[in-house]
Amino acid sequence: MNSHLNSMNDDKKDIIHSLERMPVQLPGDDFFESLKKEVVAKIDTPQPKIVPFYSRRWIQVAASVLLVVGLGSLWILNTQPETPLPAKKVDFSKVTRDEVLDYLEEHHEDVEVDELIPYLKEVPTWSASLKTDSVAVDDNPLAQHTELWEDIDKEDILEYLEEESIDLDEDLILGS
Amino acid sequence: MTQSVPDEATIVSYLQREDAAAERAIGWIVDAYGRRLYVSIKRWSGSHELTNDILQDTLVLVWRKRDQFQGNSSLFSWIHRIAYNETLQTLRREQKHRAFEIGEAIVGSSELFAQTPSATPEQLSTWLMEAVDSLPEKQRIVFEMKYFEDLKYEEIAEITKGSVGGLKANYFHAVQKIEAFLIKQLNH
Repeated sequence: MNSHLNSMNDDKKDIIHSLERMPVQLPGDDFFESLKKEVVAKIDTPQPKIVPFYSRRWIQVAASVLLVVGLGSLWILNTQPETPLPAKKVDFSKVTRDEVLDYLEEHHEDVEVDELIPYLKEVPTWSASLKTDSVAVDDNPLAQHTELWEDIDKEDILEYLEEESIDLDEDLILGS
Repeated sequence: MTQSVPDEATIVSYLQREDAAAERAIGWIVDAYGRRLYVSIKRWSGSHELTNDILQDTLVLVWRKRDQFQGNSSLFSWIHRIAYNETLQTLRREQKHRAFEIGEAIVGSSELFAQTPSATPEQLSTWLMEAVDSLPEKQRIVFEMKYFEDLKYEEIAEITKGSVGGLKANYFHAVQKIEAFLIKQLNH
């Protein structure tokens, strides 16, 4: 046998390629299907990670941007010089006498008559009418005050006093 | 049922996911590589029962080590290496290491050994597997893919990410060593 093998070596015969390779018998498809199930049953399936709301990247970025914008706006508003709002211009020529009286009736507690008198001079339309059947208004505020009273009917005064629960002797007023 | 298997990149991306969808990668690996792994493990272990156990353990190990796959070799090559190491460990536990139990012959007789009574197919198969096991890892993998699985060098290069020239050299050295081993056994 040795001489046979030696001669085989001498001839550089390819031993392993002279062997007949036997195919390995494969099991059926069922084997591999059950293999999948058995392996999956053995492994630890990862559970989805619960990421806290505040730790999500985009939330952090958005919060940072909002913080910067918010603080920046506050800083700008606090450092800007205050600019007065444009005064609302009122065209007194279009304000009627009744409107002024209504206003005074509603806000008589807020308005000092002395403060109103100078403005009455600036209203040409109805201040002029006030002058028509009365004496000329001089610069004395008290005189202007008296002028206003003359145009108010006494019944209106009584009604006003009644609404304001001011109990005065009617004869006293009527007689004045 | 066998499902359509996506490409390797998709399998790897699913395998390394951190949710339940990662399980799908196991199914794809079985469909894509299960039969080839079975053939290799069966050749090493010699029995269907052992092959079944080793194949399951291999896939569980693939799952546990999935984060370690860096893509330096192909996914199959990586799994193949895990399967081989797992087979050796199992055979050691079974006290069968370096004494492959050949349940069925993996090679037949040869005309060269027609007048050699000891050179039965079973004996030749055992010697052959012992010779293969004694090879350095790279030579062993190349020899098995070329000799037993009849793959072309280009295919092996794709799997192992090696060069065709290097693979040819590895195969040549493997054949030389195996033949020397067989002659030595036959001369005893």
